[in-house]
Amino acid sequence: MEQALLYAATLGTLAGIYAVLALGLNLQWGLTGLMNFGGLGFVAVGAYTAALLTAAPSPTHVGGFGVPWWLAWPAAAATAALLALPIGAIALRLRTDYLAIATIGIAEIVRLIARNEDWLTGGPLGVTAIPRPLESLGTPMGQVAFLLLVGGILAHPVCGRAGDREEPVRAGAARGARRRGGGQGGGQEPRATCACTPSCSAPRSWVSGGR
Amino acid sequence: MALLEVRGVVGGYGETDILNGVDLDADAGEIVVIVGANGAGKSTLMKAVAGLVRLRAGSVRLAGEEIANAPAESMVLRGLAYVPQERNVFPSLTVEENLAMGAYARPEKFRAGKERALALFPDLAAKLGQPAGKLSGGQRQMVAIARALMLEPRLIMLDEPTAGLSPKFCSVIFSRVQEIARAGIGVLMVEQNARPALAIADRGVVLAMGRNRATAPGPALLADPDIGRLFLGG
Amino acid sequence: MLGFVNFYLIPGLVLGAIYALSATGLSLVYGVMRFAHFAHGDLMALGAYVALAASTGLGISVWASIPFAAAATIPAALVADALFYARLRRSLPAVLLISSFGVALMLRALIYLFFGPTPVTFPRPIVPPLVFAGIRIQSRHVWIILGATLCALILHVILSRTRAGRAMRAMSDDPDLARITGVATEAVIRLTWMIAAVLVAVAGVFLGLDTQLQPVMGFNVLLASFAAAILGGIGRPWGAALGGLILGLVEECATYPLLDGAPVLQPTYKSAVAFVVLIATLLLRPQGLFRGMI
Repeated sequence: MEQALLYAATLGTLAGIYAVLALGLNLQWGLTGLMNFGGLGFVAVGAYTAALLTAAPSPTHVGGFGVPWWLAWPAAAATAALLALPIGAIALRLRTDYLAIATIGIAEIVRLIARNEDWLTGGPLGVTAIPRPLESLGTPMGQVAFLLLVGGILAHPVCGRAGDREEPVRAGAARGARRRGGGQGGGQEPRATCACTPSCSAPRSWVSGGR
Repeated sequence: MALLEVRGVVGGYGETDILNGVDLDADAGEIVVIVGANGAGKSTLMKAVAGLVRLRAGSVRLAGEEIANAPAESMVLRGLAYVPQERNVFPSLTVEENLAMGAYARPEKFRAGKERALALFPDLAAKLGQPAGKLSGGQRQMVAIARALMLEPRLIMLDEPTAGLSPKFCSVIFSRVQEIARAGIGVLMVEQNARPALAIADRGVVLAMGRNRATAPGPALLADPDIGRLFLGG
Repeated sequence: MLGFVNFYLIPGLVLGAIYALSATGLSLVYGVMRFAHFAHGDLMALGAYVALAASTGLGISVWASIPFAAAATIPAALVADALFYARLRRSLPAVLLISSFGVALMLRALIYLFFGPTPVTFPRPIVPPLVFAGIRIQSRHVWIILGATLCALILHVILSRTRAGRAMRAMSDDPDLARITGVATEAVIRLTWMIAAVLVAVAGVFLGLDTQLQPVMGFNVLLASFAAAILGGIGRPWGAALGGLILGLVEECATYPLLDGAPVLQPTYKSAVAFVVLIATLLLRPQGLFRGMI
């Protein structure tokens, strides 16, 4: 029973994160017509910001700031919004297909930085040991609480209205914080490591809807 | 039977009809000038005849053959040539290549067509190797008309051939149009520059709201005070 | 100086030749059909893998397997056009772009299915490099540069001297006017796909020879190809070829240790060069070097 709940919660969380991402894209493509193919660049910036602010100290990347998640998440949104500034400056001057190509280019640059600046991001190994919000509730209640949190963000009216680029960022922050590997293999015990790696944000993986 | 017979055509872009039942006749060797306010449907009528705008009703006959909604690429072989208002040359192609495009459907007629084109517009001889996009507006118009004449059409449609041209070029174009008609080709022309165009028109057609408003010989339309006040700017 | 020629200039020319081939096809497709064809890279990978299968299966040289690569990419492009793009011909460019992304994923899935994800190389004998006055160049690099030049010349003749080539250029100038002059647009579109597919097959084989084959090999150079096409002026094949050459050279030379032995740019960031060039072009001169369509 506990295993099933854990499985459902993990799966639901993943679905919720994708839903937040889709909402953000819908705001951007659907309402403003700006075709952003680089959404995962923002996801990566948000995810790394949240992960690095909250993760335990590590010799492989900067960290050990000990910032609580509820502070780290808005910070993630703010950092990703910074990335949006230069794109916002060019977006209106470019035709849709050029914008699509340019945003993929920007996302690729983000990915290259994430992979190559080891001192900052831990390189291909990524950031591990990211504390999950509400971890203190234990398993599986912690996961269920996290699911409720993601669901809350999804249901929040802001997600349905404000037309800016922060929505994919929220998904990124959540994604960085969730435990990877938990949903596979029929509800086995989630691995103890939480990871945020450059391959999370390859644009093709996002377009294909997988990792 | 007239060369071109347009009967009750209805059509436009998407859901909105611009043409609400237009009739039109044009004979071989005749200059027919269409005038009317902006949005009256003049250009749309030409595009419809040329196969670029879909017709929902009506008939278009060229020399007795029904051509309504036939593919635009088939018109040139039926003897219908069309010079759109803007974008009427291929800018990155040279003048000679533009003429070659005029003979695309019958490449063997290129040489003779080019000779006729240069006889009609001798100025082009010096420009043959230049990209058409680099020419002046008047020269571009000449290239466009020459391109349309390459395969000796039965009917040529000109959409505002003098738009944006200097008075000198306007009179050159109008005199060439008369020459084309004298050669037995039907000319259907839309003109904003209505007075000089109607002066040479065998037939003038006034369109309003996608319908025929008046049809008469050009000079008679010019003399009509109502038409003058309503459509020719006083 | 010799080191610069051997390790930066020549690899730059080779990479530039490959980009040029790919970008030229991309630019042709853009010119005639007016959409950014995102499946171009995966078509390239398909060509490379089929050439691999042909050269190992039939025991022929990689060069002789190029026709087999083209024999795979041409039908793939034509089928994708007939099944997907033709139905969307009148839609917005964005719709076609996304549908071509879908085609890209299908092609890549096929490659994974038949050839697996592991990088492989063409069977190639180890030959000592040719040496001219200290300049060392692999013979396959010579062939790549010559092959790309030959392709460019043939394309030039097709576009400038043949009736069909003129029709392609006319369509890329103005599709409606082309129809008025009697151009059967669907036939021109099919011809464009065939030419682009041949170019991309050659590019795929060359890329595989220069580096290795992996299912994402084409996608990895797709954005650089777009950058090259836009740099040259999209819809202008000459511009695309020049843009590809420039981009290849800049990418390789950017890592040259100019500053006291430290490279101008860390090699790991090489692929970012294309994006910087792309974004700079879009901002400073969106029509590109050769006044493409904006």
